[in-house]
Amino acid sequence: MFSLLTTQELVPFTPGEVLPAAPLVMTAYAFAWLVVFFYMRSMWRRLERVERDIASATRQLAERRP
Amino acid sequence: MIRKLFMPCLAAAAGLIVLAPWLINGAPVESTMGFVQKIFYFHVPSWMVMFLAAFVCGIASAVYLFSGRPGADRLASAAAEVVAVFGLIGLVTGPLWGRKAWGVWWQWDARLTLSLVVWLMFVGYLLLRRYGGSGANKLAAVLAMFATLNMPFVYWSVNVWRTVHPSTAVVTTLGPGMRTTFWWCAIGFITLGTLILAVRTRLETDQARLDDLYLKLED
Repeated sequence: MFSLLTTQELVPFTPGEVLPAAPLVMTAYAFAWLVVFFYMRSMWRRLERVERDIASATRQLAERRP
Repeated sequence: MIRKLFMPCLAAAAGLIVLAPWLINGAPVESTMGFVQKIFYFHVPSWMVMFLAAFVCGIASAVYLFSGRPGADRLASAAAEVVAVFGLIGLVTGPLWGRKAWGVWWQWDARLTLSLVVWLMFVGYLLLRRYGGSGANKLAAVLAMFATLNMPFVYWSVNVWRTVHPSTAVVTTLGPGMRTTFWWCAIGFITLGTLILAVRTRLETDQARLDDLYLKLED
């Protein structure tokens, strides 16, 4: 942190060097929604698989009963 | 039941996706940081969800540890996954904001370092549950309790230690244009997080039911 506060050398400003903000904002927004989307999709798939396995196991148990 | 929960979940997400960019674009541009400050509107809400989920995980872990209720363990496990997901969003969107506002992607100051450490502790909790073998659930519950105890330090770190990160007073002192946008996004994220937590807990419950059925089949 202190290395940031202590000026080591003075560098003149070059026009055109300013980092554009829009790509950073768009990247952050897209990343947030991609993570949520893929997480929800993965959860949905896991739910479907578990529900399918429950139905299968219940059926097998019912077939075993005399 | 799951489908009933999932539809509001999707509706909340869709509402947020459709309206949030419009509100964020219409919010005033911050005087010092400029346009990049707009990351604030989903960076902070993602941390809010992470904090809430962390407290749910910690409290549920304590309940499981001291009362042995399996339902509490399942809730803790689901909440830890929500912590990992929303914490990851916070940890990625923060540096994107910092790169423009501070000139660096990352700064090893108290807030950022503590946030990373706490997030890693919850990832460790999930890995311990996944690969720890028998008895790992109780060890993981202890880890979750200690990880949750760190959360107040993460929150207050910006007020106590010298840091480049904005203080907690930022949210309470927002101007009218920024306040509406922020709380729209925050409520949207919290709704989404809560619904994801509910569906994820249901998945844990179904998994436990399936394990019981397999045990009965082996008998």
